[in-house]
Amino acid sequence: MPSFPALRLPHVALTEVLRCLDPIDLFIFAQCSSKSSFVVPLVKSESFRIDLDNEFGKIIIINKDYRFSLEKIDEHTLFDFKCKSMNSSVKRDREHLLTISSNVGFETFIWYFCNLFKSPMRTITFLPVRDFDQITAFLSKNDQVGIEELEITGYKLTENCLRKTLDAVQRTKISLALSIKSFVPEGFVYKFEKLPERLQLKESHWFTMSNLMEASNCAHIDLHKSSLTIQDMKEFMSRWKQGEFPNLEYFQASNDSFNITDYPGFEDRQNTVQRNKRIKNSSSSRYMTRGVKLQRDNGQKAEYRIFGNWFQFFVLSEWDIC
Amino acid sequence: MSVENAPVVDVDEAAIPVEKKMYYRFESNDKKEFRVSELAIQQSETLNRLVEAMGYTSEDVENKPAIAIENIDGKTLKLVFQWCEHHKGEAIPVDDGSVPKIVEIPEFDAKLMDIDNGLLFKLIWAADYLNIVQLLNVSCKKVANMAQGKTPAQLRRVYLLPSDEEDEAAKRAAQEAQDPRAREVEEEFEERKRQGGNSFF
Repeated sequence: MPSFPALRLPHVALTEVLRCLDPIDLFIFAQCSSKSSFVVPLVKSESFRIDLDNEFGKIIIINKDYRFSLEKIDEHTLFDFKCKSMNSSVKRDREHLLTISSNVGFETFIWYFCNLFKSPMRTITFLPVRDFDQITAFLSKNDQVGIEELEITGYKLTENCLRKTLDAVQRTKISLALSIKSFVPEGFVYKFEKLPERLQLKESHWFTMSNLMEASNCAHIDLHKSSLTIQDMKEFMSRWKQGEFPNLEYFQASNDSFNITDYPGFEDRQNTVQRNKRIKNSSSSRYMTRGVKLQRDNGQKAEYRIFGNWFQFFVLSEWDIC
Repeated sequence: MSVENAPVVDVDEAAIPVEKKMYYRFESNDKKEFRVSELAIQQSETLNRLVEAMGYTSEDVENKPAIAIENIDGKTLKLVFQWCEHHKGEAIPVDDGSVPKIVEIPEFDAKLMDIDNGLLFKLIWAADYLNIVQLLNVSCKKVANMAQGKTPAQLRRVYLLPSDEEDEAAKRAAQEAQDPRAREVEEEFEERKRQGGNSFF
C-alpha cells in the first residue's frame, strides 16, 4: 500500500485534505493517534451541528446526516476495527452510520464528540425514561455553554418523571426552544422559572394562565390541546396591549371549544391580507388571513383570529405580508 | 486536451510557438526554464502578484533573466504549469466552508496526478506555495480519497501516522540525542541494573 505523509503537509493543505473527509471519516482518522485527533478541529468543526437523540437508541448526529450509535453489539458481529478511545469496537453499518460497541456511559460518549470536534451540543431529543441520569449529568456539566433546543419526548411520562425532567431543564441554559411532545398526566402542575425563546407543547391541558404569564419573555408560543378559555385569550390580549410579552412574535393555542361560530368576533372577513410569520431558525411558517386588528399605545400592531379550533395571535412586522 | 499536449513549453526542449500573447519565463531550483502564458499565470495568486509587481514588458521577458522559483524543482513545476495552462481562464473557486467539501477531479487532473506519492507531495507543497486554489483542491482531494473505507490501522500505514507509543519513543530518542548526558545516565543505570545493584546513587 503506497503511503503519504499527511501530517507533514503544510497547514492549509492538511486542512483541505481533512475537509474532504466526512465526520465519520474524521472520527476514524482521529482514532489513529493523539496527534491525528488533535488536528481534526482544523476543519473548523466548531461549527459542526451536534445533535443527540435517545428516543430510538443512543445516537449522536453530526450535521444532521452522520450518525454514531452507541450499542451493545452481538458478540458474533464482525467488527470493522477496535479503537482505544472509549475502549470500543466499531462497525460501519451504512455510509452515514457508525455503530460503536462500548461499555462507556452515554455521558462519556456524548462528551467524546463535543471534545473531538470542539463543538457544543445543539439539540437534544430526550426520552427521560431512558438514560435520565447520564443526560441530566451532561446537561448540568454543560451549563456554561448550554444548548439551543431541547425536546422532551415519550408517549407517556409519569408526573414524577416529568417533574424531575423539567427541574433538570430549569437548571439548563436553553437558548432557543423547549418542546414537550409527551403525554402529560391529568392534574400536573408546574411553575417555570425561565423559558427559552420558543415554547411548544403538544399536550398543554395542564398549562395554565399563570404558566402563560411565566412565558411572557418568549417570542413564539405553540400550545396544542390547551385548556385555556376564550376568556383567557382575552386576558392575554389585554396584557399584551398593556406592554407585557415584549418579545412576542406569535402565539397560538388550540382548544376543542374554540370555533368561529360561537365566537364570530374573532375574525374580520374584510381583512384579506395574508400574514406569513416565519419561525426563527426554522424553515416553517405560520399563516393568517382575516385577522382582527389590535394596537398597543406605542403603535405596535397585532392581528388575531380563530381558525378551526386554533386561536392565533400575530404581532405584525414588515416581513409578514406574503 | 491530454496531459501530454498541454501547452507548457520547456525552453530547453522545444521550438517555441510564435504567439503574440504575453508570456513569462520561470526557472526552477534545478535550472529548468519554462514559458507560461499570462492567462495561465492568473491561476496562481502568488505568481500573478509577482509579475504584476515586476511590470515586465515583452522585451523585458526576453532580455531579463527568467524569474527564479527557488523552492520548487523542474519536475514539479512542469506539472504545475501544465495544470495552469490547461485551466487558464477558469474562475478561481470560492470556498463555501462546507464539510465534507465536494471536489470533483476532472479527467485531465486525474491523469496529471497519476504520479508517485513523493511527487504528489511536492505538487501539493507547490500548489500551496504558489496559492493555486483549484490545484490544491484536487490534489488534496486525491490524498483524502486514500482514506476511503480504511480502518485506523490501515490509515496509519497510508498516511504514515505514528501511534502514540511510537511518537513517545521518538520523542524520548530526540531528547536523548539532544542531551548526551541523559544518554550516559541511562546507560550507567542499565549497567548498574545488570550488575545487580539496587540503588543508582
